[in-house]
Amino acid sequence: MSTILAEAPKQLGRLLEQVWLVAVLAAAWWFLSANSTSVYFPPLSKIMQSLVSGFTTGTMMRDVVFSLSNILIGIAVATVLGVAVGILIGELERLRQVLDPFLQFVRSVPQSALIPIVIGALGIGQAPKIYMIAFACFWPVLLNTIDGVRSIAPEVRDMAKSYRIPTTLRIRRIVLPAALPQIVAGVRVSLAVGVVIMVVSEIFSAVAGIGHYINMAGSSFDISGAWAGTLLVGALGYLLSVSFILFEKGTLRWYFDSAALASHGRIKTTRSRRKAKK
Amino acid sequence: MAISEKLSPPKVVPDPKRPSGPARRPDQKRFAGPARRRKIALVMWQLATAVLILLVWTLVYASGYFSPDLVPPFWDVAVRFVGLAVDPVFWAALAATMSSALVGLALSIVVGVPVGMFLGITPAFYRSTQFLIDLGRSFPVIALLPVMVLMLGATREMEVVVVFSGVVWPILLQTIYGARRIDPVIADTVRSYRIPMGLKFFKVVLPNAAPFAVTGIRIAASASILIAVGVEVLSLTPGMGGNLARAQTDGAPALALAYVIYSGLVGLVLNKILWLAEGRFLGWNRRVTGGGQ
Repeated sequence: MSTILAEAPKQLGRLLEQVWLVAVLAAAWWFLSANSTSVYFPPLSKIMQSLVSGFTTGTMMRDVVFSLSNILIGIAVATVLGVAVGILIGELERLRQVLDPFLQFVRSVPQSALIPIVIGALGIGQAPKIYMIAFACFWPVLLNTIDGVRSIAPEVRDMAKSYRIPTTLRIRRIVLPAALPQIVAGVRVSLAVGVVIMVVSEIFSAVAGIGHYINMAGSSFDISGAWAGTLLVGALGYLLSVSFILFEKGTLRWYFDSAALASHGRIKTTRSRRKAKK
Repeated sequence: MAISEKLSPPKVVPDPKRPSGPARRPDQKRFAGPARRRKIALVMWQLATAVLILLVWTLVYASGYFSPDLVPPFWDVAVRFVGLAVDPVFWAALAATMSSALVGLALSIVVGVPVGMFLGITPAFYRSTQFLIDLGRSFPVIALLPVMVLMLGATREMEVVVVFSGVVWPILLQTIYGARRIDPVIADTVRSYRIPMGLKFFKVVLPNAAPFAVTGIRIAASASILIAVGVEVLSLTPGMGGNLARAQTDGAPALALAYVIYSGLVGLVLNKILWLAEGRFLGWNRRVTGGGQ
């Protein structure tokens, strides 16, 4: 108890150190814009009012739900497909070599360039947006999974082969856990990609969603509404990435622990052996 | 902070410890030039895959399951693709997109690297700005577009501003990471020998941070093209993205797809060039540590 009390001021200091700048900037924005008459920089108080009224009387709540469900479904689909295909390609070295130039090309295509084509062909509803997010998020997951599968130490592979561990067991107990850190990294990248595609597809053309809200506010010269939507998207992007990092810390605790102890391959070997024994 | 470098696209570095399947067979050595032979076989397989993709494409088109707006026949796309190569409109669009992307990139290097170095060597400032940087990094800049269009109009300057605010983060983060990550033994040595601040900066911190900063720049370069095209698609600013979106609304999906293929090729070539440049100037680092990863 006494140690907690002793630690408290230190932690408070650290917290203050992290938030003071943001607080100062936010306060500066609030007070400097308070009497702003500029059309483009409305007072922050007014932006906040728009945000509150957007939630209470406007469509903001529906828009947030729409956007969030799109991105979550899209990423879930992309993760399942990306991991499955990635393990297949990563395990079959020859297939990977053949597909490599194609994968490199698809990765370089700006995903947002496909949005006009997909929306133009399939309409402005919800499904094409989910397809787009899933398609764009598929590639980072796929490429990272391939990398993760390939990074398994050759000794581990040889060991699995010597013991004639059946393929399904090998994939579940060796390949998947070994590739997991890379897969999670891929999902984190695809989260950022997904948020961009979500917003772009909604701004391009939609019936709901935060991007749609920003666009409607912007085109009707409701600047404080557009700012409110923009801030909301920023907050949403931040919250998504923070909650993912928390999730990652939970699922990959064993990895972060082991990385501190030794190189990956060895720890994974002992781990998978221990698991196989059970 | 280890998060940031995971963002970099996976590299195609041949792993000497793991040769591909066929290479392990000792009897392969008996053939004349097995490496060359394998290479030829690989290219043949890749060509076969390309043919297969075109075949599937044609089948999907012929089945009529997707509207021809989404899947036009590939020969139409091929005709447009070749047509664009001799079309001055295309080259103007390419130049416009590239120049906005590169100006935005140059600005973010000019800002990101010095600020990153500064934050990297002053822990107090680093801790104070961490939250702000996290916010900026996870902010989808494209959401700023409607506001930016209202303020600056659908202009080149607006595009540069949006590209800048999107790509400055990877450069900043990688530079901070590189400047902070100094081997404790080296840090102790520098302190024991009382190496002066300036000398330490130029001989220890800078060489240590450089590979990381360059990796950040490589990530940022690919991202700059993506953002520039995205901005053009939405705001119809002249450029590859603008032309593409207009082609789609004009009912020319094959032309739009040809633009998509070109934009992919541009990204691929740019990434390749940067990868080679990085190897040339920082090859010493890649040999030792595997490229600042």
